[in-house]
Amino acid sequence: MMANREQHGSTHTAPVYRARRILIVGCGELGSSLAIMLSDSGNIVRVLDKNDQAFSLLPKERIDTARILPIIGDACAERDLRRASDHEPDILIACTGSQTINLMAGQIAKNIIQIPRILCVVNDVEVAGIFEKLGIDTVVSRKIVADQLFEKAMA
Amino acid sequence: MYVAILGAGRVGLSLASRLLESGSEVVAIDSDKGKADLLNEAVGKICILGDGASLSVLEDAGLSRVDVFIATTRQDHINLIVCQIAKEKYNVQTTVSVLNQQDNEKLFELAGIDVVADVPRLVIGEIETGLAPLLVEEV
Repeated sequence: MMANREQHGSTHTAPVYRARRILIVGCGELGSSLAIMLSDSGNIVRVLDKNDQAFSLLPKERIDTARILPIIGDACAERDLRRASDHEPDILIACTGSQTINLMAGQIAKNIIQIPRILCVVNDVEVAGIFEKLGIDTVVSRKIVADQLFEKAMA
Repeated sequence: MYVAILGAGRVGLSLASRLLESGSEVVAIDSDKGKADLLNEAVGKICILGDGASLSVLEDAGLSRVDVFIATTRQDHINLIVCQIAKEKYNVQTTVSVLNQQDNEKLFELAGIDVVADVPRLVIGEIETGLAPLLVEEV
């Protein structure tokens, strides 16, 4: 069995990621694309959204094969977040359209449920700085787009 | 005392008028034009129209010289995050927040919000107090 696995490993050229359990909060354009990308690379993905219509952005086949599990619930309610994370996720990514929802869900996940890694999408660099100091990892979506536009415009 | 109130709904409006009566300087913030207009008509032009989670709106409200920040919206995520911004960025001495979902009490405590007004608990308490004499009679 081991030898077999090693043989397979030696012919592998693509980068190998350890499969992670991931909880995505918010199934909008960003959350759904991310869910697909993360399940493509072999991760176990759950997506929480309070609106079940949002899950129509996910490919039906992924849901049917349980590679992405949609969960209806409120990201700012500890009860719902706990239920969504009963598979003990390694990381929570909060990417709803609201930075206050993302930051609150992130803090419930970090300080109460104690999910090891938290990533929150925010839309203001300064707000990001404030919550980075409180131990919340942030990504400033607007800044990434602006940086890319700037780079391409100046190229 | 300089007080900033987030949310110009019923709670925000009565708070603003009481605080003004007691001689405090008050600023209110709401993103809903209708609510902001109502408050301005009722107590004078003290309401800024804008998103309280936006730093430029908080700057306009003069948050760096605010003594007490009171969040009164119906959305706990807005109340929590803006109180945290008031504390961490503007060093506001005292932060007060309405709590709408009892579920979130622990998080508000962990975030260091000084006074948490737990709405469901307050309402239940009032009802119980009101019912107490009736319940005693029945026993």
